[in-house]
Amino acid sequence: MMHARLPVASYLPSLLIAIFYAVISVSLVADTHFWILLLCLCACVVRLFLYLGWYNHAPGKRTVNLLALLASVTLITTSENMDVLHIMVNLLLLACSLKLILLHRRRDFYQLVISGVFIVACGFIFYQSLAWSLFYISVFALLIMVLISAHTPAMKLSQQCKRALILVLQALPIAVLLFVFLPKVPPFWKMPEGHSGETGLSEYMTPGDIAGLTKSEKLAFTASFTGVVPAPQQRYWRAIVLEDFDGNSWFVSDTRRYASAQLQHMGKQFDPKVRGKPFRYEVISEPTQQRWLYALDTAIPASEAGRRDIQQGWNYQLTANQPLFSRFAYKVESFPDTKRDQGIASLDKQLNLHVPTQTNPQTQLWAKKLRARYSDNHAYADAIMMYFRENGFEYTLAPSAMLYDPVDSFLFNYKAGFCAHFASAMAYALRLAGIPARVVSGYQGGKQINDTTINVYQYDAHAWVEAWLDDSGWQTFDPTTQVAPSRITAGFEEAARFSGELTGEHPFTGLGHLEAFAFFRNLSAQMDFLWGKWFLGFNSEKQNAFFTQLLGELSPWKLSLLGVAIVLTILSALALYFLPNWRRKNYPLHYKLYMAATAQLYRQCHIERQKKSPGELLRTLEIQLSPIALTPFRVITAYFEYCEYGGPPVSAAEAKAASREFSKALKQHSR
Amino acid sequence: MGVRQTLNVMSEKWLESRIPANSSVRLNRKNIFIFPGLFGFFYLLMTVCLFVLAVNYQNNLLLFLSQCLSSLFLISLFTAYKNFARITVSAQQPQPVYAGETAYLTVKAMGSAHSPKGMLEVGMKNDKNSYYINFDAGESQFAVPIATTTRGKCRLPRVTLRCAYPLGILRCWTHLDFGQELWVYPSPQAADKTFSEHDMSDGNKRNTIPGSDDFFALHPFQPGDPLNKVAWKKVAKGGEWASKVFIRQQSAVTWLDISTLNTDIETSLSMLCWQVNRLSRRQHPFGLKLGDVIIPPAMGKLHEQTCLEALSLYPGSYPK
Repeated sequence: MMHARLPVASYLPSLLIAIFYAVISVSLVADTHFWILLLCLCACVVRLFLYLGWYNHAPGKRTVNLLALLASVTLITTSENMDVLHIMVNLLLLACSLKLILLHRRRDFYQLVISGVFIVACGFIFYQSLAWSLFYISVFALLIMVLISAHTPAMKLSQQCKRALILVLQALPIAVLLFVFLPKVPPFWKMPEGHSGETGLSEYMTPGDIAGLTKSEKLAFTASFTGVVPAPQQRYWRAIVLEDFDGNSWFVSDTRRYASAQLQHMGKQFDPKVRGKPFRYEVISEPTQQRWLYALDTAIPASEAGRRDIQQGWNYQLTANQPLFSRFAYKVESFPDTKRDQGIASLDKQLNLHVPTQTNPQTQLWAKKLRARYSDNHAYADAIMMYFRENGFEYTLAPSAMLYDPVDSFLFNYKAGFCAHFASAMAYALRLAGIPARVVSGYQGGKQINDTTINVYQYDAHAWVEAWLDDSGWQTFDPTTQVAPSRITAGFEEAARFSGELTGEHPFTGLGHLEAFAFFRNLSAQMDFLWGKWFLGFNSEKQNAFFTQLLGELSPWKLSLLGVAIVLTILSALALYFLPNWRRKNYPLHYKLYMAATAQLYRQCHIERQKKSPGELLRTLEIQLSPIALTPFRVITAYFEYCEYGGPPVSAAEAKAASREFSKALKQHSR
Repeated sequence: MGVRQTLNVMSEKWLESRIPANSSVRLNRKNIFIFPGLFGFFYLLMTVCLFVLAVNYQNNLLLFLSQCLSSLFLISLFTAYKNFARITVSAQQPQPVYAGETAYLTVKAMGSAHSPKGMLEVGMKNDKNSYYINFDAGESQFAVPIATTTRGKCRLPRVTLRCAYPLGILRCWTHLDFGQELWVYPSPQAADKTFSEHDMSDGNKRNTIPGSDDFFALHPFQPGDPLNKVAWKKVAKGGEWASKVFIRQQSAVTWLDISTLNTDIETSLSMLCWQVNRLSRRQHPFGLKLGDVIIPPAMGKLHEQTCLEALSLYPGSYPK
């Protein structure tokens, strides 16, 4: 019956879908509550027991409903700091685990499959590296397999696998065709920013708070250069400009945000005049759920699409119009020789001269004294840098917590910290002397994986100082170089390993030293890069470039022709799969001729061959057929018999002529 | 007549012209319907949702997933059709039943060169109950039960066949009319009333009626003849099957007459039905009078059937 209960024990589809949910819930462990994972695994175990018949009655509907009520209350109370997408995944997984326990109708299957596809989709949003993508694609294939097996429960597992594989392989070329040729559409509406996961950056920086530094070795972005690759000490990847200081933390200035919004509203664009020789490169950023982008100074978007999707900030910071929920590729040109004096000078100065006077009294005093000795701005800045070098400051990844007057504690007490401490102290000291200064947060360095490509990881996160000393505009100072020059020249990984601070804690130890491991790491980085560049980063710009390569100059009629061609290709693919004639075996000539003749006989005279032998058929036809048709048919039959059984010889040419004659005769007959 | 009924009638008429009655049907373009089911629509909705999500998140993986889903839909459309079109369906003439009993229509679904896959759902049109023929398990037929309530000769409704192979997104179905008729006899009801045994002609003439006393002749074998009366010697010699007919001298035959019963028509018919069964079992010759319809006395399976059919159709005239 239509809605009858499905069998419980030994019902393979139910086991398959349980396996699917077990696998996918484990894969999403970082994005879901741990108790939801447990619940899901429990549901899968219940299914397994039911399948094996160790346990015969599934929990009742009332029990599960009660459980659902409890679980949703828990979910509501524990999901305070989550974004919508994560809450959705948690909710879906929760609902599916409960449904899995109750699964007994075909409809439940369908619900589980649809939810499963959505969870796979969320997996695609959270994890986009090649390995993860392949993993989720195979999990998706498992889902197709579940559907097949739900409709062919009596089939052998290997057969079901084969059917699923055939379906997917048939669908794949069409999907690829659609993917490559269907126009890429811009977002329908603006999405809210999500919570940035594990990134080295954030929109505020509290040096006293140790949690500020991530040691994650996740990729932040990849930059592939055309032409010259900048030296490590030139690679300051600007991401966020922090202009608001409250004595403890640096923030993105609200005034700046408001001003930018106003200016954008008025239609004013910041268009810095650039000079010198540029670095040209393409950045593929990992998803951050945020809008900031990375570029070397002074950067301008290099392509038409880039200018559309990227906003040039008045503080030389590039921002995307949409949060980066997926890998995002953009082309940039950076002109390091450009003077950075083109913003709104008055606003810049007003924002970056603000000093909180309530905190850090020691530093205030010290700055006053120092300023008295060095009245020249350049000399003053150099003096601060010098101070770091000559007073026993240390670079460490594990500084002590500095909760009150952090700059005082850092400068005069602990004298050990990482980039944020140095940058914060220097910018503060500069402001105290009346020099506009701000902290820039971003990445420094990166690892070159081949001649043109640099991978920048989260542990490359860095902070440095920008100061407006004279008319030449903003200048970059990196106080960290004074104490840990290797941090800049050799990169974070090297510096950290050298100082021995990461030993026993993180991945650079042990395996990292092995040659083979390094090779595979590099290989996987390269493959991921290609994957990001050609698949994830396949945007409308690349699509257009591809079309131009394919068709030459693009024009509407060429594009519509292309559309027609695509539709025709899809249709012919379908014909190839499903029209039986295409795959018919190549029969020998005598077969073809004979079958054509009998088919025509059936079509036009409604005489069926049934299961008669050629000889018998000929005998019956002798009564029914007129001599004009009978004579050639006799020849065709003779030819067939000759080839098949070795009767009196008949030549192929004769048989072909007879076939033509027969067809003509029958046509006349039917008229 | 409500809108629904009108629509029903119209769709029946349309089906009549689209898929005319035939005892064996090869499924093809003319008689297959194919359309997404509820799950299919949800699947499409999901595909659209994923597309929107992909575009808003500018996520190529999601975009590819949604395109995979849509091409899978397309592939599934053709796979489903091709699978369904492999089936040739035929139905056997259902055995007559008494009202209230369940009749069975055996539907046979055979594949051509390639055997079809999946499960074929079989049921009577406009009936919620349906049953499965599981091709993968080697099944090829199912006896669909048909509940009967009233006597008569009824034209069986169309049989609906559905198949959701391969993914359940698309459903193929067809409503086939096998042109089968089902005889529903009145339900037998025990009646003590003894019917008069009187002669059709004059009382003096004695009829020779079949009995077990004296051998009379050999008749060609008819289905329903008792096996102990078959002339086995003749059969063993390779001759045609024949039954020995014995005769018994008897004064009269039983006439079952509806006008002698005082109950309402249905009860009377039920009683008569019971009598017909009883007399046939006893091999007692009897005739039947149903108003205008008069069936002369005889006996045997065929006679019983004729009488039962006449009872089923009463007060309509027996078609002869």
